[in-house]
Amino acid sequence: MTAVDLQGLLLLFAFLGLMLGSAAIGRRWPATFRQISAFEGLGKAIERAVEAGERVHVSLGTGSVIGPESAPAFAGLAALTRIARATSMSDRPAVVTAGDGAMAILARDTLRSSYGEMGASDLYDPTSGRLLGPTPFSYAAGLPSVLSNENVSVHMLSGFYGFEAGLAAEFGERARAFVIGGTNEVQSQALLYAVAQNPLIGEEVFASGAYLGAGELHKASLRAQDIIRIGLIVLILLGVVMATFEDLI
Amino acid sequence: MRLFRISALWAAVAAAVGVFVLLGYFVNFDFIQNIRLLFMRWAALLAAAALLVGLANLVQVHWRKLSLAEEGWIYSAILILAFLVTLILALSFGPDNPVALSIFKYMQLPLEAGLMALLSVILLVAGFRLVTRRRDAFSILFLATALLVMFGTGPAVTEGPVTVVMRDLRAWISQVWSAGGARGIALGVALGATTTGLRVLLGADKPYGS
Amino acid sequence: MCGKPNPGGAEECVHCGARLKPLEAGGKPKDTEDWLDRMREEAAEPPTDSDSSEAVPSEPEFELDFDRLRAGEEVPGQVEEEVPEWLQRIREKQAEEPTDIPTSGEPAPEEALRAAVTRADEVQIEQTDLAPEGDLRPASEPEPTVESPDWLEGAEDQDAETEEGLPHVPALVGGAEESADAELGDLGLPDWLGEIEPLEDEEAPRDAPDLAPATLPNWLEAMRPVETFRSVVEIESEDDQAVESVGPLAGLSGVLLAEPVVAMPRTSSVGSMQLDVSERQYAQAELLHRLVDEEEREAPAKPKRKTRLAVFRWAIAAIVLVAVSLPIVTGAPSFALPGLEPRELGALFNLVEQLPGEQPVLVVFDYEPGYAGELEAVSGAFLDQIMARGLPLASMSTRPTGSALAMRAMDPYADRHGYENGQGIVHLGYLSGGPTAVQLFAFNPREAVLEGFALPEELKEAGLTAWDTPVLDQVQALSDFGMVAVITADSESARVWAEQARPNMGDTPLVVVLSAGAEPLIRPYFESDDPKVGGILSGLPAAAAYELRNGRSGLAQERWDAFGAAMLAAEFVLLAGISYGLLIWWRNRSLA
Repeated sequence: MTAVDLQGLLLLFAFLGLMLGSAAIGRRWPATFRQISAFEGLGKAIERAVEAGERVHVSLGTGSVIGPESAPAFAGLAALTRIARATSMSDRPAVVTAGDGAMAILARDTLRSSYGEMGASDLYDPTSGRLLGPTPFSYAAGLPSVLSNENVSVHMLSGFYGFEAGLAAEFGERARAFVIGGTNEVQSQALLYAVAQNPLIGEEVFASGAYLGAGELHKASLRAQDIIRIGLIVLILLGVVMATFEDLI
Repeated sequence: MRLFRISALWAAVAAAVGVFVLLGYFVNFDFIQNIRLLFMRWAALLAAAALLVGLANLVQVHWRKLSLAEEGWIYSAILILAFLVTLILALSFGPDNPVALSIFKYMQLPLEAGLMALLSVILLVAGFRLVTRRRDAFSILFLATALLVMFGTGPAVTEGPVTVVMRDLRAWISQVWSAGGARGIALGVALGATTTGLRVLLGADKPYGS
Repeated sequence: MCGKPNPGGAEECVHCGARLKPLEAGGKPKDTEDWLDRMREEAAEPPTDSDSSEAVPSEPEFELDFDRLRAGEEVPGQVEEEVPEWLQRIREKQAEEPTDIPTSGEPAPEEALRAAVTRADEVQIEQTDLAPEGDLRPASEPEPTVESPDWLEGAEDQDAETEEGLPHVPALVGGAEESADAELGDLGLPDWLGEIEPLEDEEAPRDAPDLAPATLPNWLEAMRPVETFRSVVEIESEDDQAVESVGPLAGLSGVLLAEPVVAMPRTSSVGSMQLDVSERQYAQAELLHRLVDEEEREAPAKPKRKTRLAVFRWAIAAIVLVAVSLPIVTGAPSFALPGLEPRELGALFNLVEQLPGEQPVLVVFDYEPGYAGELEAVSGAFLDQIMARGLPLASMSTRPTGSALAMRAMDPYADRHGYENGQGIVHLGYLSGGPTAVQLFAFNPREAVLEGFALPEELKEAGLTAWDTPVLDQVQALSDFGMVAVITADSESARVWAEQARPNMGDTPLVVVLSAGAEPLIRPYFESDDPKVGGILSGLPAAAAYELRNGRSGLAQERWDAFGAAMLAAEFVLLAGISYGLLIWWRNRSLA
């Protein structure tokens, strides 16, 4: 085990400890989050969709389950749990699409268990979690038919996207849906910023669970992230100072 | 005995596999490395199998649309037909058969390139209406930066001192500001991805259902 | 009745089926008694955690308005306490009565009468106390602080909790205002952790007063006229009582008047017609009003598609199309090729020049067909230089379409430099599994890829694989390649190769050919003190400069003019957009 490996392992344990610690103290000292207008708008849009008998569409992106690009899609699945419960009162439950076969299976499992927990197992439809296309652009090309045929009024993008993020968001805008989008790919975030009404920048996509009330551990994750982030900033500043003085000396 | 529910079993299996794979990145014991490699091979195989399940689901969705004659059923019919033709050709002659390759060359490639071209127009339209739609300092800064980078990237009619200045400016924006900002965002994304992964390992998030 | 003999004890006649024994009044069949007894026993047993968790579906943690409407019926844990307040009072009275009534001996009539009068007085005092002054007080005047009994405080707390979730805030979005005393089950902690951790708040219900909470749903509670309506007939003192003026009881006071009370002129005991409505009631009335309005509201017609936007969209598309087509069709405008080249280009060029001739170069095509337009032009000069040097080449991809793209990108240069499939160049094919597959390939390439893609027929017939070709027969590990080049459009793929595969590459350099947008994210890997990326190439200008270095024209130079014209058009559109947006803003401001 090298020094870098050890540092990585320690950082991981620090993360774990901070998350569990934050979850424990979160009941006594609840976290106060900054307002993210996109999530506030999402709550209202979902309420409207349920009342109007329209669908919520959650897009899990084109990334594979087995890779680092799966993280935002997992965050999307956590949000889907809440959205599925919220829309279980509607006669048009949420529809989920993915560009990866395994992710589509996970989406179906999430829908099934969410409806089951709500006692609304009859709402589960195997085709409501679907693979749209195995390649990024074929996935994007399949989106307009979902948005129009399924009467979608909320279009949530949470997953890995390449440049197809721009297409995915634009198709939602054209369908006059409420479009909220976030991804882990930085250049795609720039596309979403330009095209989507409600872009999620940086790690905001990972905060969807906390803002939608998916559990205390989601809020604790944000606290842990903030603490580690502050630590990293301090370390970076220290590094800059040390490098500067090293050069001067 | 909630502890021994089926969902808890899945969570335990997922956590155990995840911990072994994760440890393999940090600890160099043969036992852990071998188990990690084994799990990764299984994952690669399962991902390929999942693609088949996904494709079956895709056909199921469009078959239902076709059989119910829902709006846009004609596209579903074309999709199923194209899927079957490609599948039969690839299975019969192999994916490197000239016919299969020509399907890629003359159908998939132009279609996807067309979508990419559409994206360029979409982005330009979005850029055009960005200031009208979201009138704030960040939008103007966003567009101004985009313009400067484009001026520095694109060819000039004539080479001169202005061109050199614009290229230096482009390099400065791209390699200092843009790279710095992107690294900051990438750090934040990495932190978010780590917590998401840990939540799955802890069994708090169950993407595999409960 | 047939009158035929039947065995003793028979309940029904075996011949005609007539009942022989009379039915007992109030008697129950045995099976009925069984299930009733079972139910009673179950009701008597205190419910366990596991029972309650299984019996009651887990309530969603979110509190959408429509969920809140339902919450009053299904709050777990309160089911058995849901006794109406009036019933609870009766029960309490009943529980108290035995203490009032002597258990032995006859009660003295005087004592019983005195006790009854005392209770009646208490009730009257309670009624007097219950008449709040608030009704007569202006709404703006603050209410005096009244020490509430425990049960009322509990109810007030409940109200306060309900007020937090009034319809102004979308409850799906959890905020900081959520109660800190949420159940541990709401924490979202994993089951195993939730069970291990002690539940501090489980003790709380024991301290709570033994009083059933209100059972009315919130919406019904809001509609109930709380303390705003009361009897208009009040018992007045004897002096104030009216004297009967008509009939046989004329002249007597304190008798029921022949004239109805309601017909008599009197002063209203209620100060005004204004209802004293609390904020909570007002908000809930608003909610009800909104719900009714929503029901009555006609579904708004979808707004007409903005024709202005459609015009802009078509106009911009036309501008781009014309800009790209003009140089291709007419040859004008023409732009000067880049005179300056990026700093990193020289390093990459020299790296390729110095590669050992016998080791093959692995080129990974990790992009989708949509990016072929850009990446084929960018990577062309690079592939051209490798093939010009005569280095053996192998290709692979982690995308299903990658191998076809590899053939498309390499074939023109292979033809130019006389490469033959299976001799100087070989395709390993598609590696399923994404980033995981990259790690597996880096660990052991021969186990990860078994055959190859588009191998010559003679090799297939001989049962040989790509590893048996002269290109790869010496390769056992990733470090046996002379160079690994990854052509990709997204930074994630490049990062996977730099972070996951690089440790297994030894001294073999890793080169990344990128789409222009991904460059800032990968540059740190190239510029760091311990670079994981040995060379970087991105963007059409760099590719055009590369072709100039090679001394051979390629795709980058072919597309240079169209690229330049399109860039100019894009700059014009963006400038127009900024100007238009600012103009609209200025006009609106002037009008305002």
